[in-house]
Amino acid sequence: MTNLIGALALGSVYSLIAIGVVLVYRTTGLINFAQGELVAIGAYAYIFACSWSGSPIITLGVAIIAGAAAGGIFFVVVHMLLRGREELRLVVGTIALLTLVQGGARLLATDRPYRAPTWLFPDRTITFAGAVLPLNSLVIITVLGVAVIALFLWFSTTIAGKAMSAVAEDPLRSALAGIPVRTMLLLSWTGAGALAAIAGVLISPITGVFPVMGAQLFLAAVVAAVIGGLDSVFGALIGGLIVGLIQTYAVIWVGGDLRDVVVFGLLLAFLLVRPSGLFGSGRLRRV
Amino acid sequence: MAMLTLTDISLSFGGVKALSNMNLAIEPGTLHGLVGPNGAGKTTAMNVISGLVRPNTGRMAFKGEAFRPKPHKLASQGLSRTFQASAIIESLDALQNVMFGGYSSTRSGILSCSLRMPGAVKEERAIRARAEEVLEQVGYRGSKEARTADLSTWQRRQVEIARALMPNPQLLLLDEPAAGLTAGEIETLKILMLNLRDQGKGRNSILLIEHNVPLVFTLCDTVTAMASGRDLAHGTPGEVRGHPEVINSYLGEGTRRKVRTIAKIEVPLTEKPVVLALDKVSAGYGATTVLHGITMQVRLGETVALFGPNGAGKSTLLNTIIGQRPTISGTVHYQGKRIDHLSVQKIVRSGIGIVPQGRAVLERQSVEDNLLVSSTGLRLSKREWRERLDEIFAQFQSLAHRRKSLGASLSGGERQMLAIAKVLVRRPSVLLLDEPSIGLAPTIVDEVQRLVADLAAKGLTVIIGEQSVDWVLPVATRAYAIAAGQVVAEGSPSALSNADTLADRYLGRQPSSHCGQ
Amino acid sequence: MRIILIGLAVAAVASGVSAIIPPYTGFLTAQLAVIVIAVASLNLLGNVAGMLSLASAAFMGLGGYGVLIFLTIYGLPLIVSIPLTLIIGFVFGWIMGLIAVRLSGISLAIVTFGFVQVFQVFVKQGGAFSGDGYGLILPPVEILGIGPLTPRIISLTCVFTAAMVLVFTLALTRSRIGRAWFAIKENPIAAEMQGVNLLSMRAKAFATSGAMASLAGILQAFLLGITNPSLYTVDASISHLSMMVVGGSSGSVAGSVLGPVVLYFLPEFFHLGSYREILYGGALLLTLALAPQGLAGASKYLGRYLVSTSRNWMRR
Repeated sequence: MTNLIGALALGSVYSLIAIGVVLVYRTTGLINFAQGELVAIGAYAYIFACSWSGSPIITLGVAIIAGAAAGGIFFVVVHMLLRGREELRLVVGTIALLTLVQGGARLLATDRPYRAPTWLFPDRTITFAGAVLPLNSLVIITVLGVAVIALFLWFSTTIAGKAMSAVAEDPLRSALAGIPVRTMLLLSWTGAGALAAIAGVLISPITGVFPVMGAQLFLAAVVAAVIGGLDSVFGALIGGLIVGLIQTYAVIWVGGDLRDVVVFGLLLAFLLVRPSGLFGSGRLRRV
Repeated sequence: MAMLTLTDISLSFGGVKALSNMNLAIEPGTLHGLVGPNGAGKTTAMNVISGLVRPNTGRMAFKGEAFRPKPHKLASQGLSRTFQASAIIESLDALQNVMFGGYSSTRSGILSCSLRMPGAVKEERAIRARAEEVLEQVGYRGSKEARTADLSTWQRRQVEIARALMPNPQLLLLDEPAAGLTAGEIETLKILMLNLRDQGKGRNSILLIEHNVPLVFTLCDTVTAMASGRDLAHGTPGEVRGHPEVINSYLGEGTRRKVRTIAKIEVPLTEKPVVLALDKVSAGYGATTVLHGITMQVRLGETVALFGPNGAGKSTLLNTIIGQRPTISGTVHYQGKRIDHLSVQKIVRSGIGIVPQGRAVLERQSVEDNLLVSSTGLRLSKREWRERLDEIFAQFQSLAHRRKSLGASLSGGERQMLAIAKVLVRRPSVLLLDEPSIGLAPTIVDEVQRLVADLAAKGLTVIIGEQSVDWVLPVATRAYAIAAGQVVAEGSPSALSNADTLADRYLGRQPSSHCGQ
Repeated sequence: MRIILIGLAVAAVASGVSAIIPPYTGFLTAQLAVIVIAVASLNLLGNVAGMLSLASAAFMGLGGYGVLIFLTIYGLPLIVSIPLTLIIGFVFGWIMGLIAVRLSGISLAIVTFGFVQVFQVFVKQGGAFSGDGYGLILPPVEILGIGPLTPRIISLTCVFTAAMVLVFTLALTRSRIGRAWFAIKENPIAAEMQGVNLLSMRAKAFATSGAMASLAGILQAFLLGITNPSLYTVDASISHLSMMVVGGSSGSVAGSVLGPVVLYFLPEFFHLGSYREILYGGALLLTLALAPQGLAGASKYLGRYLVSTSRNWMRR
């Protein structure tokens, strides 16, 4: 039971990042290689906020603002500077951002992981059905639930949300309908940044905060997104949980730190056999 | 014996019947043209012949034997083709592009190429010599080391044709070779094709797909006309040009329909101000220029029809006005202000709306939401929005019943209505319609016609781009005929509605007798 | 053949020069040579054949670990170890190439990214084969009785090899294979129509690139005397990518040299090493935005511009 909750918690973090990947992909058609860096930025902002405030609202808030702002800046860089170039160039642009942020982090912070405090509740466990469950894991899973519900409501009830779906479905014709396409794209990137920051806050107590924390998380999140179907938010949710579960149980049964190998295997399997993932529509931009 | 025959070839993709029992026969030593309006299946036919797609039924024979084309064995099977969208390789210079055409006749592997072993060097020299020879043959006068980006459209075309000639094919397939060329260059192209045919000494043939119908009729020995996936007529240009079904396929079928209520204004509204003015506008896609110096004006309250076969540039013209295509030269003025080079958003917000070709409807949103997202930026209060919605639903009764249904569940006719409604919700002053009648049942076309008449009566300025003449004529106050990217006629609809005149404009004058001298 | 001879001459000169410069610069130059080979492998794959790969570090790792495993654990002589390692690099590249056919550009980038991460796992946890996670050490080796190899000889070999690799790459790019690769990059359907077997050509491109990167890895192992997981990270791959883009241009030799010189040699020479990543990222962004053809392309453009303006000027 403990393992299950732990796996789901890990998966929830992946899901949060994966949803961000999908949001960006649906609207701009890119995979943002610097998504992991947005997580790191959120994590660093969080520990920075923790150093002068104990309030969970403030610390989370600061992280979210940092992540959203960074997401917006990434968008500005990628789209304004590199406007009109082919997709692959834009993706390389995100790789450049990855390097810039990582390099900056390395200069400003040490390479050793910084232990971050858990968000909301101090490190405690509760006992339930005979198993000892870390409270933090339950918090993480709950946060995912809240985030997903919020997103769902936003997409289905607000004009901006519907406009963003429109842009994701048909960017060319959305412009003809008068939708401010660029604003929608910016929104999706800032949203992805915010989600990544939340993920950063939640995972920092578990893995610690260090400059290259983004890379491993990015790979897992991308695989989660692929499994779910790159243009489905719901798919990203499920995909993240699946990756979390498989990683945790693979480590338990097979031993050794094979997390990345497992993730890679899943990636290859889906890309080659079922590129549209579990829930993807399969018609958006080639795999 | 015919060189290539297609018998009863049918092909469907995803519910669309691209080819329907199509037949084709090409004799050796001939220049054979394949014509037909958009969607007729010409490119699909060429893709079948070159092995890119396999037909569902039917047989093909090449030089008397059963023919199963495979794309990467095409050269050894005796065929070669060019592509409509340029297939020139930008990373290579002109000569290297042509040399690539000889790829299938060379063998050297990685090791021998990188180490420049004698075998590889010899092959390379032979290919180079042949490439230079072929470039000479097509009349290329540019530099052999020229970068492709520096070449003119015609030079690029020459390089592509030269590349296709490298394997010495018996059947050469040319896909829209005249696209984007000036009149002078087209004449040179004609001479080139005739020379190629003659150099084959009656053994080699050329199959040509073209939108420029007059070109085909004045050049080719034999022509096949297609429409809706099947062949309509086959024979000499004279025979095909005069065939009533062929003419109809370009002009639109059916009888002229009269609209019940409309104050039809035949006299141009010269007292009204000019709302939209195009001055020598040229536009295109990438390296191909589709519009060549279009000049036209639209006055307030007019309903202007743009007639022309597909490929003529009507859609490109409308897309250029709305800002989706940048202009290469020339200006577009709206209400006196320049709008070319403005973003689509700005132009839409300034009052021009376009109902694009194809059903521009969001599948995953409801009808109401489709309308909602089209209202972004209008800053309406909740009440104003509700009123506007009611207005729209009053005008579009069929949509009112389906307000909560998803876009994906609407029929073709309902989608077209929704597409128009989405634009009207913004209350534009100018409405552009791009081929609204394509694929619609006649009753829906009637509805569209009634709607346009209604809007015109209310004073809206409308521009309609249509291939099918009949439903537009009764509602239009003025018309332009467009062919090959240029305005070929302008005037009152009734003047232009003479079928013979229009046919002459689109298809060229009836050829007198044998052509291709 | 002429190109080969010119190449040999250039290689000889380069090696000669590297033999007489001071040791630290000589070491940097040898490192530069290794990186040039890695970047050339990416250039071949990316600018010629059109496939973006982030796996260059993993292939270097295959080369470095491969040769040392053969030398130390299996005790094979150098003459056998090196070709064996190159073959392994070629084979892995071939497999990658086959996978690449089924994937779009972005997906391939992700898969190669994952490949490097997976390689990291294996070299950190590979037991004896990976020196228990700490890496392997180069034993004293001799070739044909001459040895042990001095640092000078190794540096010279690196520079010489780099020059020869560039020559062969150039010859390959200007041949029918190069033309086929360019065609695959720009228009696979048209390429197929000309008789190109997409699967086999893509696999060949990746295999050649993989073998080249493995060669770089082998040379690096000799130069440094060790291998270590930290040498073969995603960051290393990204640095190669940055150098490729910044150096620029399709398959030309200049790009593969300019990139590493500007982004590796100069910063190291001026002791700006800790700003490396920021330099890579920043230069990459600038190049993408302002001069997508890279330095080589920009200087070609500049050259052409100067030539045409001077011609116009002389006509007056």
